[in-house]
Order: sequence, then structure tokens, then C-alpha cells
Amino acid sequence: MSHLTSLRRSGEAMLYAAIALLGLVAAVVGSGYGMFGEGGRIGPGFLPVVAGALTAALCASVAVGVVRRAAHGEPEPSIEPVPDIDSTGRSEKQRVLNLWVVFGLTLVALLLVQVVGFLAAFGLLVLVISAVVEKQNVVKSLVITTAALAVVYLLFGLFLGVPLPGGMLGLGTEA
Amino acid sequence: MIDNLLLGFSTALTPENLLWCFVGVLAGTIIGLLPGLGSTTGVAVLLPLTLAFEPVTALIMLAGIYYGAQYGGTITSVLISTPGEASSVVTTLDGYQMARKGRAGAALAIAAIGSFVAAIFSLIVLMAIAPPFAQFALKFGPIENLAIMILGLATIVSFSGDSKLRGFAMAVLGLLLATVGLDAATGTARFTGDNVNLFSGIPFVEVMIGLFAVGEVMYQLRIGAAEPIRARFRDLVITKSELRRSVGPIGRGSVIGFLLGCLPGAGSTLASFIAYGVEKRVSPHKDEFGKGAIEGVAAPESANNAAANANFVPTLTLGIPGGGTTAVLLGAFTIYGLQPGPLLFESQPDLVWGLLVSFFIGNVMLLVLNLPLAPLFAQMLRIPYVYLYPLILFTSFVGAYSIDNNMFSVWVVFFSGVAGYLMKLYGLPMAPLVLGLVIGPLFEKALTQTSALGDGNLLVIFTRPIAVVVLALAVLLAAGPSLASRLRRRRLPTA
Repeated sequence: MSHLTSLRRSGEAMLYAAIALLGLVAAVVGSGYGMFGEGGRIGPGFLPVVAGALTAALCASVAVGVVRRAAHGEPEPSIEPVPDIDSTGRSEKQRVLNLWVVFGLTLVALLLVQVVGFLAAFGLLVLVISAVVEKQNVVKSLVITTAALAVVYLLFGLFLGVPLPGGMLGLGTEA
Repeated sequence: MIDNLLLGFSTALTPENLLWCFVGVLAGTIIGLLPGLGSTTGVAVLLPLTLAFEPVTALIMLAGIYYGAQYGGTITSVLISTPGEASSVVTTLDGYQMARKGRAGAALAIAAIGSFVAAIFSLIVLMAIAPPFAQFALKFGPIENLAIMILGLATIVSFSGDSKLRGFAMAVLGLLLATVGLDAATGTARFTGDNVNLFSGIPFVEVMIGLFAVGEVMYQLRIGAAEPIRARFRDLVITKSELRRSVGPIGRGSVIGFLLGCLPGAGSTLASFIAYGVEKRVSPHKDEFGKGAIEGVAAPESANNAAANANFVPTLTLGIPGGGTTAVLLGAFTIYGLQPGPLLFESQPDLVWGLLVSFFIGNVMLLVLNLPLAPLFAQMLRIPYVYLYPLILFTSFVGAYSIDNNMFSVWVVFFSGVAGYLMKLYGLPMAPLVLGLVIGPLFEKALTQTSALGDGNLLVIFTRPIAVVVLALAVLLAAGPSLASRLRRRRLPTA
């Protein structure tokens, strides 16, 4: 079993355990909304409590199953096997780094929307990812970014009249 | 009937109506291609443009946008795993896998053919039995609707394969998430943290975009499998064997779609999930499901298109909208001074039959437009992923913003994307979560009404024959196969 597969198996158990905890908390909080109303009819807390408790029970059961199968060395049906080195020669470490960089850049683009506007923030995101992160030809990346901006501007801004925020620079489609 | 059809054709086949039908179909397809923008938004946004038209022309164009957008949403579901509407979610399961194997053209072609056949089938049934069928659909009260939704949830359990427990857990989680927001019956704010954006609940279209589109991009980056798909042009064309395999799924999907589409609410979404579940149960190629089975595209696509047309049964005959888009169309009827209901067929025969015949013409246009274009759309996957994925991120976020014109939607996409990535990485099934989230509000409404009808006793559900039959089907679907295999195992030692 690869290192990644083993990591994913423990991650899966932890994720189900976290969802189980979420279900439990929702059931407890939901009970405060009132399970039953007038004449024994169901109240606003009924579904949160039932769905929360069921989520907790089912997810805890799956998590226990995953841990038990791991202890017996049985394969996990839900996890797709992944090679340690991909077809482009990137190692697992490089791929994780790449993912974190793209994740961070997307977050920065979202935060930049209020400053430079929607189109400029996401235009920069497309350009930086293709030219810097993926190390593609700068001219090609510029052409693709410009074309994407033009299509989004025409379709969303002009055709559908979506008021894309312009930020402090005013580069949007707001009236 | 023949007279009505002739009247319909004479109305729909005028050059003006043909032109606007084509414009509607084309605009709908383009709108459906944009993440987040489904048929409801398309019809709502373009409705003001039709105010200067004759009512019949306006409705023909708006209906064209409706079914054009359905197909546009399918294209993105197949090519980049981004469903345009909840009813296309299930198409991503096998459609996207077909695309990754270089069979995107075939997936898109069978979606177009299945949608066309289903549309024609449902139109014929709609024309023949719309009024009596609508009366039958009226027998579906909250109790029957609750039973139908339980059937939908049971279908999830049945098609989650080896991971039935996981599928069920995710569906219930979806129901739990659907309780976020103001309770419809009492106005109690639940799990909102006083955030006004959450008062109307967690927006499921944004969640869908995040889970499927952004989550998929992150997952592809993590596993490093995202290479451009180098399929030859002839690989993109549907084969005779694929067509043969799709005949049954299209037929069954059309019937399921029509029956469920007549019910107001989440008919199309439930229909596509149930059609997929049924196909997975009856198909001789069960093992291929989830890995790129053509039946997994043909059945749900036929079902959601048949349901989209069947949505017009309660809309036209009773004045009750069958879904979100038909609710907007109902508004359009009122704007044009028309009153949908039983008398509409008598008072405005040229409009009703012209509109119904235009569905037929529009669907022919959609097929002629999309069948040759399917392999061309599929060529988009030849773009290197390093260029494609930033564009998917861009269109996903801008599409999400355009739903409500606020940044809250964009943040929902971002966080759902992270959740979608984790779910993909750890093998948690996403489709059941989406179905739970979509039918959650309707499920709770039906549950509350059933409880009220039974004075707090939910067992009242067993006093209604239709509900009992539907519940029995649900039990059979969920527990039947495992009970049968248990019985087989018990018999083996004695044999």
C-alpha cells in the first residue's frame, strides 16, 4: 500500500468522524428549536435532530468500519488507487505544493475582488496560474487570459447584465 | 386531436415563431453552458426581452430557452464535471468518466438523442392525456409526495453500490444541511448564526458548483491525472453498440421522467436519480456504472428532459408550476394576460397547441444543432489542463456570483470546493449529498404537512394506497437485493 493510500485511509476515517461530530452537535442544537409543536405535530427541531442523530450514527459506523478494515489489512472499496509519481513526472510532494499554491492564489483572488474588481482579480488568477505556477508560455497565457476576460465580460456583463464589482479601480460592469 | 395538431403546426411554423424558437434554443444552450446559470435564471433574465412580442411567440422563445438550457447544462456536466442544474448532477457520474476516457462526444450525442426521444415521448403523452393526467396528479398530496421523496432517498441507497452506508450517510447529511435557514412553518432561524445570507438556506446551486467543479479541479491537481484527452475525431462519435445499449435506458428514463415530472417540486432531479438507480439495477453492465457506462448518461438525461416537458402538465392544465422554471413561465403567462388552468385549452387553443407543437420543433432544432456539434464540443478537452483548470475556476466563480449578484455565493463555492476536494480524495459520495440538499426543504414541508394531517401521527402515511405502494417500492429498492442474496446464501448449504 502506498504512503498516499494509507494517509487517505486515515483521512477518510477522520473525515467521517468529524461529520459524525457535526451531526451530533446539530442534533443537540436542533433539540433547542422544539421537536414537537401543538397537538404533537412535528416542530422546527424535528428534522435537525433526526437527521443530525442519523448522520452521527451512520458516519461513526462508517469510520469504525474503515478503522477495522485498516487493522485487518483489507482494501477500502471507496478509495481510488493513486500512483506516487504521476504521468507528468510530478511527485506527490510537488503535487501537494502545487495544490496549496493554487488554493492560496484563489483565496487571494477572492480577497482582491473588493480592491481591484472581479474581472481584474480573476484575470490575474488565470494569468498567474498558467504562466507562473504551470510555467506555460507567457504570450499564450496572456492571449488565453484576455480571451477569457472578453468572453466573461460580453456574456455576463453585457448580455446578462450581471453587475460584476469593479473594486476601487472601477473595472467592473456595475452601473 | 388531429385538428388541434394542425392548428398548433400552423401557429408554430410561421417564420417569426420559427426564428424566435431557434433564438431561444440557442440562447438556452449558451446559458446552460455557464456554470450556475440554469434554465430558471435564463428564462427570468430574458423574459423582459419578450415583452414586445405576441404572447405565443414570447412563450415559444422562453420554452426554447428552457429546454436549450437543460442541454447546455449537460455539456458542462460531461466535459468538466460541472452540472448546470441539480437534475444534471447524476449525469456527471458516468458522463464525466466517459469524457476522461475520450468518449465525451458519444456521451453528449446520447444525451442529445435521449433528450430528444424523451421530449417527443412526453409531448405525445402530454398532448394526449394532459388534462386527465393532471387530475390524477392532484391526488398526490403531501403524504404521497413524502412517499415519493422517500423513494428517491431509497434509490440513493440502492445505487451507492459497495458503499450503501456511505451513500445513505451523505443523503442524510444533505437533509441536515437543508435545514439551515428559516423554518418555513414557524419562521424559526436554524443554524444561521444571525447571518442574513443563510436565512433562505444553503444555496444548493453554489454548493453544486463548488463540490463538482472546484472540488474536481483541486482533486485533479492533487492526484496529477489531469492530462489533455487525445481522442481521435472518430472516437468522439457514438457507435452502433452504444446506441443499442441506450435504447432501454432511454425508454425507461422517459417513462420515469414523465411520471415524476408531473408532480410539482423536485420532479426532474428525483426523476434523474431514480432513472439512474433503476438502470443500475437492471443493466447487464452494472460493473461499468460510475466508470463511464453509457446507460448512466442515457437514462438520467432522458428522465430529466421528459420531466421538464411533463412539468407543463400541472402548469398548463391546473395553473400549478411543476418546477422553478415553469413557475417563472407561469409568471410570463400572467404578464401576457393569460390564465393557465383547465379553461386555457378551450379559450386559447392556438396558443396552447402552438406552444406544444413548438416544443417538438424546438427539440428537433436542438438535436440538429447539437448532434453534429457534440464531437466539436468534446474537442474542448484537448486544451491542456494547465490552461483549462484556471478557466474552470474563473467561470465557476463568476457563474456563482451571477446567481444572486453577491460575494456570499462566491465564498460558498470556495468552501464547497474544499469540501468537494476532501470528499473526492477520501471517496465520500457527493451525488446523495446534493439530492438530500435539493429535496430537503420539500421533504420537510411534506413531513410537516403529513404530521399535521395525522394530528402528529406520521403513521397516517399507511392509510393512503398510493403512498403505501410507493413506500413498498422504496423498501424493495433499498433492501430487496441484500435480502435476496441473504436468502440465496441461506438456501445454498441445504441444496
